[in-house]
Amino acid sequence: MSALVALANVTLTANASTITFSSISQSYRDLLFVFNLKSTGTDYVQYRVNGLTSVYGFNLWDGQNTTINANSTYNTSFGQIDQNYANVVSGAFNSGSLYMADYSATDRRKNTFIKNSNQGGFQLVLNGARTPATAAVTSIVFSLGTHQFGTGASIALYGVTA
Amino acid sequence: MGLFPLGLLSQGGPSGGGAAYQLIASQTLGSNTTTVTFSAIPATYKHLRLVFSGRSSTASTGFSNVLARVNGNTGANYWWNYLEVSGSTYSAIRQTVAQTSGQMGFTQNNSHTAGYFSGHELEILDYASTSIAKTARFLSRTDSVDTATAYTSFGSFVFTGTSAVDSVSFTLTSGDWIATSRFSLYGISG
Repeated sequence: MSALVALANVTLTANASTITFSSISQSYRDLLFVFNLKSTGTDYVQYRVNGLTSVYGFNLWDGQNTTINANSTYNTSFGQIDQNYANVVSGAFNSGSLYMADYSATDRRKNTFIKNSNQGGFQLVLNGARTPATAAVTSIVFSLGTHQFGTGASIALYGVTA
Repeated sequence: MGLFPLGLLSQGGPSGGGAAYQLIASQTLGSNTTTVTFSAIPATYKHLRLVFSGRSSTASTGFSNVLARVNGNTGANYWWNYLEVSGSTYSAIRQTVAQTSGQMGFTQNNSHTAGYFSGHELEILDYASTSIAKTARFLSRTDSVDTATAYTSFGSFVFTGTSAVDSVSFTLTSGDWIATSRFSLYGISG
């Protein structure tokens, strides 16, 4: 029996401001999101769980072109997947994964591991993040800072047995 | 980058017959524990993946290093290096002499605000081989809001032994893993 179970898969057929997963089953311990995203403009990808607007934390490396940056915060209104990226290469997608440990637990914030590659902006990101509260995660909304996800953008959601 | 998190695995095995990603064992600690061990690991997979979240029992607002060992080996047979980001700075850290464990980031000590645990991913590649040293790679993160401190570490360690890995254990440089810390071990088919 696989410990990895496909729960949902969204592929956009038109531009959209958000991609939402709601009523997430509580039958698993961890969640895995595999994304292949496209933006209508230079932007960064963010997420919120359970509609919460504070206080997320993350710290990440961002390798962009030939420069490495570090960025950390403990008090943001959303979880951030990457840094601002430009669509230098037309048609390129922002691809990666978000692994949320212990999403169904109620005694701890959820540690979140993000690996992201954006060939549109020549950017690689490794990001350790956490959610703002200890409540079980039942919904997550992905969005962009100011733009929309483009047609063809997709996110697949898996439940992980633990 | 991780193996399955990049979506490289299907739910079926290579021939479509078996699961490519299977839970081998999981532990949620019922009491504080100095060493968490997975033993008698079957040699039937290509790679191992471990996911865990924990916290140190040490009564301070510092952080403790997370240490990994394989096959109960406590000799100076480990080499590790990693990248670490904290705040707006990052650094690269490596060992110039062999160590007695693989170091893989930090966990917060127990005087930090409750409800925060460190998180860790560890993948041990070709663990069942009997002819090569074992390479492991990890991504770890921890933070505390009370001291406004966070660390994310990404790196690897090499265990120079060539025996198949049949056990993996985790300790801390200070204190025990507290009760409710959770450890899961997965096998990945190849």
